[in-house]
Amino acid sequence: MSTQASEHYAPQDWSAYLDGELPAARRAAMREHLRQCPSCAAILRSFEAVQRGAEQLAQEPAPTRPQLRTRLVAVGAAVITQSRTRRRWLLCLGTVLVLVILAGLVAALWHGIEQRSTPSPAVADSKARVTLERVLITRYFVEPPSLEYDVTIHNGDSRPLEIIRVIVSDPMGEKERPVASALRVEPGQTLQRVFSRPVGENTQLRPGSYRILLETSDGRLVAEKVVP
Amino acid sequence: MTELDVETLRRCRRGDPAALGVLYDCYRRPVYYLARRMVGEAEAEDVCQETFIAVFRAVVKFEGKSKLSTWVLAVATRVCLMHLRKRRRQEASAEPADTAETEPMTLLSPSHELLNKEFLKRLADAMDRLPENQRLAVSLRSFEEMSYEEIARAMNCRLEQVRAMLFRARCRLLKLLEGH
Ligand SMILES: [Zn+2]
Repeated sequence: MSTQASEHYAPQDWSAYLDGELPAARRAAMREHLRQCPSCAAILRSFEAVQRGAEQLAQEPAPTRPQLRTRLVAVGAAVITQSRTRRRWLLCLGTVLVLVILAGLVAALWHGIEQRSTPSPAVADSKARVTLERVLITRYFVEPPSLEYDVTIHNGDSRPLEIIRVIVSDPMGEKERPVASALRVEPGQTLQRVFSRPVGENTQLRPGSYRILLETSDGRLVAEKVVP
Repeated sequence: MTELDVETLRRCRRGDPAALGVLYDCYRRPVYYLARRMVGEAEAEDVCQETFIAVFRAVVKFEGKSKLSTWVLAVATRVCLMHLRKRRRQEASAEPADTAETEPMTLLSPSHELLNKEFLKRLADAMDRLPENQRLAVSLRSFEEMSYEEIARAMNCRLEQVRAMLFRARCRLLKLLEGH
């Protein structure tokens, strides 16, 4: 059997052959050719050496970082819990809104409309406080970017601080957005939390005032950060 | 690469730290390998971290339309490309063009001690010298489960391009290995 150049398969075919990415019939014909053609076999062998080598490199163990692992897993768990809470909260929101409107209507009818809603008083005598450490936009490719509020809540009081609702506002959105609910800070405890809301794909951090408001059992705690 | 079992995946979606740890252990090696090849040792750990945070964030929405392993590698690919883009912006350096191979092919001599330590070391060095997209294609193809279709999806390109990139990458690798 002669092995003239015209009968050979192209090198790119052998590359695809190696990857098993050819139709069965063509594959079978090539396998047959291989038995009689040392030069094609040499090409395949060379490609194969490179491929097996890369596969072997991929098997080499990565350096282990136990502390990093612990931290990543903790962050992951927090992020997932937060997003689940947010989702559940949004589900409840509709129901709650309807109830609030209904209750408001009933109350207005009952008492007359002389009472305008007033902001609940700040926690004047409480030693609880909230600090907005920073605001930033993070991008994770697999879901819309989010605007994140990095917050420290400290409860210097002698009783637990129950946070009923967290609301963030920013110069981009006119509306305040509820982001999480049901959070408890024990006396003397300091809690670090990231609250976030999804934003549009091309959103940038705009200058202006970013606010976080915690509605607690005693009133509200507010912190602000001005981005220049 | 092993796949995560359904029960562990379900626990991951609920944010169970132990299950997330299993996911991390399962894919740390392939993700690190890809990161190491694409951005180098100094930044590989950063890419790894970013990838896992992104994976943890999105695992709630993972619908199982693809294998988890290929999905994780697709996320890692995007994080790698982001890092490279950022680096290029900072250094204003041009990526060597992915030109078609016109020279005659180089083959490895049969006497080559294949797959020994020395060969693997030289192969790793050669891979680091490939153009970005060829390097990415070869690195992704290092995993058995990454078919042309899967690689095309991760790289956001056509299947034919994957075929061509892998061929050109292999030709270039052979040349680099021989020229040693
Ligand atoms: Zn032939």
